[in-house]
Formats: sequence, structure tokens, C-alpha cells
Amino acid sequence: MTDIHDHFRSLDRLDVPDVYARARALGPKEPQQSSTSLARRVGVIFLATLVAAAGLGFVIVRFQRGTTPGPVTSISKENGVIYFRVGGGDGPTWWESVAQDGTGQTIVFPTDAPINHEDVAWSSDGSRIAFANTIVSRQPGIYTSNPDGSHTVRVTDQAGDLYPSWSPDGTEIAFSRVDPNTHCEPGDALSSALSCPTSIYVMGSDGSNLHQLTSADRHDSQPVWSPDGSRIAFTGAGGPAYSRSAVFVVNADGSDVRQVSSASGGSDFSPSWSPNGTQLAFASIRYEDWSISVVGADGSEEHQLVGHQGTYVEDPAWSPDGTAIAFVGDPGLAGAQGIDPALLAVPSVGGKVRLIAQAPSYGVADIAWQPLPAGSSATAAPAPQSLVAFSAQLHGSTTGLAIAVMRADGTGFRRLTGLPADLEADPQIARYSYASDGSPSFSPDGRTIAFVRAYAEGIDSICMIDIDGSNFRVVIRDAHAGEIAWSPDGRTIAFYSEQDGGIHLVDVDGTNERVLWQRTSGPNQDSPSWSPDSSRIYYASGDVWVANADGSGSRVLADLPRYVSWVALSPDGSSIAFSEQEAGGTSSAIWIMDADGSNVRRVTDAASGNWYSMTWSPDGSRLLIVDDQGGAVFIDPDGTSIGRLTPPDGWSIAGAIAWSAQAA
Amino acid sequence: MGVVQDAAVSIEPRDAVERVWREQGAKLFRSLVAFTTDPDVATDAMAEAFAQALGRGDAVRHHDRWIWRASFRIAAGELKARSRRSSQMPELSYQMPEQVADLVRALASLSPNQRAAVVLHEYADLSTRDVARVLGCSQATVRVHLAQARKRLRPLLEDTGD
Repeated sequence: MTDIHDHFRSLDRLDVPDVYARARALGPKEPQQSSTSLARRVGVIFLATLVAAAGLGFVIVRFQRGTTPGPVTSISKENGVIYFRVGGGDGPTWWESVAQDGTGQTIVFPTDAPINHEDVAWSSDGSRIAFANTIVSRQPGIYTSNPDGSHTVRVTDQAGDLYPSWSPDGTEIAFSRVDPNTHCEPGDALSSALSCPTSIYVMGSDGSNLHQLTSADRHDSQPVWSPDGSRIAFTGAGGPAYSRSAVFVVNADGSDVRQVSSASGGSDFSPSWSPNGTQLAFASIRYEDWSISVVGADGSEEHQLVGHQGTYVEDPAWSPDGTAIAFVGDPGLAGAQGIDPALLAVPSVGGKVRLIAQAPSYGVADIAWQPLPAGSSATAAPAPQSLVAFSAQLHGSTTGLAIAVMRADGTGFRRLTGLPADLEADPQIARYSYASDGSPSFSPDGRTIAFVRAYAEGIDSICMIDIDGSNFRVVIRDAHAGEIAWSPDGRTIAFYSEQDGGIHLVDVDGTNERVLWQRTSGPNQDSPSWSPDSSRIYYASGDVWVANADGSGSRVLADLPRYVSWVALSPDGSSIAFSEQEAGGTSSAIWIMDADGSNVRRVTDAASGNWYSMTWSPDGSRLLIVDDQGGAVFIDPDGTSIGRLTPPDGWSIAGAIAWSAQAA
Repeated sequence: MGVVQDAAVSIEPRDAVERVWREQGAKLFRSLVAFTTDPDVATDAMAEAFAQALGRGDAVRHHDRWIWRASFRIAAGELKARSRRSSQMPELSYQMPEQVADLVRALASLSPNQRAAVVLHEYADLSTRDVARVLGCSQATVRVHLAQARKRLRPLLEDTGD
């Protein structure tokens, strides 16, 4: 058999063109000259500038001008979530949602969504989205839907219809369309926008009353409706070979087209209105470097907000409340690690760039910031829900596990840790350059999750985080903790201690750590499980054991002719589920017995699977057991499999699981 | 043997760039073809990277490392833009030796990161450390990409009749 390495040797038979001669012809370039079209420049410069000046740092240009820039804030809207596309290329791509503080990062349109989502745009009340479906073979065109993808309506049916933007009253949609009678192949957002002749069209949000707004003597794309509905900003490319683009503004009736950005030394694109309609943020490639800039809607006061040689920034989105501008860019701008483009934000008057979200190995592509009517967020406090928490692994990721939650019906997946916000909240992560989170356990009220964060071999902390992703705190540093269990009375956390292989207890404020029962010999004591009245702790130590919470009365509850690896007491305290572990460390069957150790019965086949962690449903009617296939299986107490819980595409359940006792 | 070595910083930038072309141009081009599966994209990306290296002069310290990284990043950007047009890799439209075409088709089934890692390691003979430098990721990430790539390539290349 030929080795893979030998196959690669065949590449030596490829002829090599004189690329260097072509490179000499291309450059070195003078700043004002551009020998290739912008479409090509955008394509080839993409990301290259990330590496071009690695290590040179960056500059934030603070907006400090002598003249009055005009009001830049408006409180007519509040900031909703930010949708952003992850991935792309010939790899997977999906959409995620995140709050502006970096919490609540969750997948909204998975890779296997039936419709491809590009250029997502929010309606002004945040209740609907419009987007382009660019896959030619999958009913391309402009679509609208609810934010969760439901109630999808196909509004246009032409490939190459891109960049929808809602009118403020939600009755119309502007978009760009490749002009008819051209030979440009539509479908590529970048090239059709910048090298095919496209114009701005406007239609009713149901597709009616379609009419062309701009003429075809430029290549117009990326329309964005002004907040008062009177104007539309767009990217217009013109001049020789359409190599330059600039931001233009046109009245909503098509009159009075004016160029507002200078495009000095390059090209400007991706406009985004300030909420008060006085300014536009836009992205630029000028002198071959990327930047985010702001200009008055009348063309005045143009100034750069973010950018420096070698730094990649693009796709600005002005926050609905006017205070910030989100954009896609090099995570190093916010002092974060990584090379894949991240979701960043900068104050709209300039200042420190902060990281909102990252997508390691995939990168953030497009972003859309949801506007909400003023005052709506004050009433948005979510009610507690019955959630399942688990260690989650992102496929392909070599960073640690994250704590994630989702509802038992498979909806509402949300990652709580493993996010950029962790770096700020927990300095230990930077110290060890690593964190992996596992062993979640819910507080009795279901609002908080305790978990174990490992930084390195033998170095870990017991931490807590609220289920909305806020309020991270460390309970104990250097806990040497394994599996943990929060007592039903809310006062105590029991955990397996790697220090002595026994069960330890600690108060929830991190004080008063004590040993439950001194282990002198025998197997480790693991997977603690509390009685409903918090008076006793059940655990696995070869057999099923129980001890009083004060450490007294430790005894073998049931001396079983098999090795017990996991113990879970039912919520009402009447039954104990446990898994049987074979000598090789794999678990092959689930057993249940009464809480007094009687009525022991195997409820699954002897070799029914490789089971790991298990948890009871809040009502005790079923068990949820993590398997080795990246998900978990629901079974009835009689062992009947009744379904499977699977995280969204790209994720797997990779560790212990817990089910909130809080009823749905 | 790794080809990503520090270029001498004492020579003129233009000479340093030219030396990278002379000594590593063929290997870089063929690596880019394997990565992009498209000689046109490979040529464009490589020409752009060399042009930028020439234009940046003293701003680039290690020309060979810079050019390899820039070429792969530019090519990755091209692939990303191209994939927005279609979810499928294009059919090969260039005359290639049959064995090369088989390899390129097999490589097309990998993710870009897997493809870049395996090409740089198996063909360009870069260590995982140097692959990590080119791709701008950790060695651990490279090892994962390599393992996944080899696992996927092995049956595909065996099917080609070897």
C-alpha cells in the first residue's frame, strides 16, 4: 500500500508558472494605484492583512475633534441580541446569537438549516429578519422569517438578490439585484456586488410593487434604510473597471444620489446608519489596509474609528441604542488570542475595542444587531426553566469543554462558558492558557450551575455561573474536585476529591471544607447524590454507599456483585439508579434499586451501551444517560429507551450531565 | 526538514523575496495547488503574497515565513469568497498528471484547515510547529487536523488503485 506521504510526492510533477514575474508586475504598489478590481482585491486581501503585520499592534483613533460631531446617541431603541455568521469557505457555516456583553451565545441556524442564510437584516422592531438565500440550487432569493427561522416567506426568486434592508415601518425591503441582460453569474455575494452590475431595488415586504431605485451606471449594492425612512445608503462602485467603491446616499424616492464617503486611497463599503440618522459607519480598504470609519450623512466629518496596517476589520453594525459599533475583526484588537475573525465592538465615539464573541477555527463573518423597542428589555427577565446542563465539546476544537444548557426537548441550546467573557472573569485561564469545564450541578432554584473548571492536570476550581451566563464566580480555588452535587437545601456542595479519593463537603460560599468519610482503602468515592432532605449522601465506591451528611453512619447500602460507577438518587428519594462498570472501564448496563438497597434489577441489556453520567428528570419519570455517541438517551425506569437528546450540529455532550429540579 | 526558516535579515528585502522564490517557489506553488485544488487560485494567491512582500520591504522580517503564511491566508480568503457562490468544490479543469488529480480530488473532501495542515506537513515537510506558524494556530490544533485528514484521505487514496 502506498503511504500518504508518497501520494504527495506526485505533486512534484506539477509545472510551476513564473509567479514571481507576475508578482513583480503587481507590486510593489503605490498607495493610490490599484491594478486589479476591488472585487479581486477584496478576495485576495481578505485575511492576508491579518498576517501582514503580525505583532505590530494596532491603533485606535479616538474621536477627538474640535468641531461638534452632532449627537451620536439615540435612546429610541434598545439593544437586542447580535446575530452573527460563523464559518464559511468550503467548511461548515451557521448562525449564532449573543448578547452584547458576550453572554448567551447560542446557535440559531445550524449548518443543516434547510435554507442558507446570508446578509441577515433585522426589522426595526426586532420581530422579523430578512436574509438572502444564495445557494442557486436551493430556491435562491430574498426571504423573511421570524428570528428563530419559523414562518419563512420567500419574497424574491432570483439568484444574486442580496443585502435586504427593511424600511423602518416594516412595509418595504430594499435589496440589490444583478441587472438583467448581463453575463455576470449571480450568486457570489462579493463578486456580484462589486463586479457585476447591480442596482438597488425596493419592494413591499411581501414582494409586491418591485421597482428599481438606482440606475445601472454604477454597481450599487448593500442598501441600508435610514432610521427615519427618508433615505437609503448604499455602496456604489464606479470608475475604471469598477475598481473603487464609496458610500452613497439616495432619497427613498430615488432622487438626489450623493457620494458621502471619500474613498480616499481605496474603497468604502458596508454602510450602517447611526440610530439618529446623522452619521454612517462604514468599512474601508484604503492604501490596502482595512478600517472602520464614520462619516456624517452629508459627507462631513469623515474620520477613522478603528484600523491599522495589517489589521483586519469589516462589517460595522451600529448598535440600536447608538452607543457602540459592532464589527468583525482581528481578536488581537481587543487583546484576545486567536487569528480567526471575532465579533468585536467599539464605542461609537471611539475608544477601547472589546471582544463580544469568538468562533475559534471558524471565524465570525457577518453580523446583524437586533433593535428592540425602548423599554422592552426591562420586562425580559426570563422565568426559570427546567434545563439540562452538561459538558459540551465543539467538534474540531482543541480547547477545553464548555458548560452548556438546553431544554429537554432539544431546543434552546446555549453555551454558558468557553466564551471570551471567561478570560476577563477568571484570570486563571490566561495564566494556564486553558480551561475545561465539567461536572455541572444545579442550585435548588435552578438559576445557578456549579461546575468544575480544570486549568491543568490537578489544578482546578469549583465555580458557579447563573443560567443566563452572568455572574460567574469561583467558589474554591485548587479544589482538586471531580464530580459535584449541590444539596437540595442549597447550603452545601459535595464533591469527589482527587486529594484523597473521598467525598468532601464545602459550604456554597467556599468555606468549611470537610471530609465526609475518611477513605482508608478500597475504590474511590465518586458521583455523590443527595437525599431530598439533604441529610444523606449516596455515592459510588465499588458498591453503592450512603453516609449521613455529618459524616456519620457511612455504610455499604447494597453489596453488589458488580462494580458501580455512577449513582443517581431519584428526586423523591425512592429509587437509586446506578451504572455497572466492566473491568475495562466501560459501563455496559443500567440498574435500579429501591433506596433501602432492595429490589435490585437490571433495566437495560447487559451490554446495552457505554454509559457514563446519568440524571433523573425532575418528576422522576425518566432517566437521561450520557452515551459515547455525543448525546444522551432518555429511558423509562423499566429500561425502555424513549428518545435521544442531541446538541446542535457541531456540538456533542462530552461529560457529566445534570437536570434542573425546577419544573418547566 | 522544515522549509520555514528565518531568512537572513541583513540582505536587501527584494533580494530576500527573490531568494524565497528561487528556493521555495516551486514547493510553495505546488502546496497551494494541493490546498486550493485550483492552480489559478494558487497562482493568484502566491503572486499577491510575493507582491505584498515586495511592497512591504523592511516591514517584513522573515520573508519566507511571511510569504508562506500570506499565501495560504490569501488562498483561504479566495476559497471562502468562492464558496459563497457554491457549496461544492469546482470540478478540476486543468490538465494534471493522473496521480496528482487523484490526490487533489481526495484533498477536496477535507476541510480547509485539514487540507492546509496535511499539505504543509506531508508535502512541504514542515514540522507541526512550523505548520502551526503558517496556519497561525496551536500545535495541538495542527495534530488534530492532521489526524482527521489522514483518517479521511487513507481510504480515498487507497481507492485510487495503489
